[in-house]
Amino acid sequence: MNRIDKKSPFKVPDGYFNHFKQKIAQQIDSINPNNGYQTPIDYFQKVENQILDRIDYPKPKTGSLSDHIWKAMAVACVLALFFINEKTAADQNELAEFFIEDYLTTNTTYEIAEHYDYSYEIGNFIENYESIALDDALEIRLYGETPTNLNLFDDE
Amino acid sequence: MDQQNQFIKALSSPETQEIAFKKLLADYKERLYWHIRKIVIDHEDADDVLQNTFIKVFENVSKFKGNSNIYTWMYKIATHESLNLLGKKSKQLGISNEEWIEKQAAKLESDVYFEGDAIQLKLQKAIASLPEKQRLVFNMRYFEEMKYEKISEILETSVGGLKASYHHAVKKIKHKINEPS
Repeated sequence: MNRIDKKSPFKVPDGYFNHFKQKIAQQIDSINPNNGYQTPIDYFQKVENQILDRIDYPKPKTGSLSDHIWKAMAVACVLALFFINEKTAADQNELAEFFIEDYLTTNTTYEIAEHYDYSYEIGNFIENYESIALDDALEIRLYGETPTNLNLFDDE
Repeated sequence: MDQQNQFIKALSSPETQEIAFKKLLADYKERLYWHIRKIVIDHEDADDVLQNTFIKVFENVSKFKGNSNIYTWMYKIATHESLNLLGKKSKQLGISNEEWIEKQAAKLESDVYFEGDAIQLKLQKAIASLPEKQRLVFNMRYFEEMKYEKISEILETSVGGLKASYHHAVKKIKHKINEPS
């Protein structure tokens, strides 16, 4: 068996395989795969377009009319609140101005000075001059002196 | 199935459905057309049914459960639509579906969209003389070379029943063809 040449003893006409594809294509063309049924020319391209024309693809969501109405109402509410607040603030400012004016005209300078809240001023002062002891700071403030002109070495 | 599920998702999603549907249309319009055409015979009727089939596929793809092949499902719709059309046409004339089909087959000689030879014409007339179920099975098995399992899914009939129908259909057709004209 090993001595038998495995090469095929069968032969084909010259150029058989070169023309094979062409021959098969010709034979396929001659076969009517649909048993005589035909379609108009370009039917399949046309029908594809016709079907696509009939398809109603859903549009991307743009929001319904009710959504727009709700949004408009929300914006209107925010604007209304803003203007109401503005008006209230303006009224309050007017009222404050009236009271201040009234206070300044009905009180003397000394009376105003007596009403002055020193605690806030002292707090600020202490923050600014942390290196000075609290008692010294109070004394400075009571005598109307500032740290720059304070003679801290009086005793010496 | 994963690939099919992805394709169905693409068909259902607004962003991708246009491309997916065009692909489906491009791949299946011809196969479905010939399936429909063999059932309804007339080109204009086949055209109507084909368009309606694809519209129904598009409209109902979200309802497709994916428990069968999408193409089997499309064939099912196409078959159903074809039989519906036959039902409407025959009802208008007050005749049965089989009688309507025989009338259509008789007109094939003068049909501009039929170019079959004498043997092909005889075969089509013989097929048209079959009962509806046998005609469907014969066309799907003989011309479309579908497997019985697939035909069974489309027509919702047992494989055994289909084999019997095909056997009877072949026998009748042979007999018709051998009849002297």
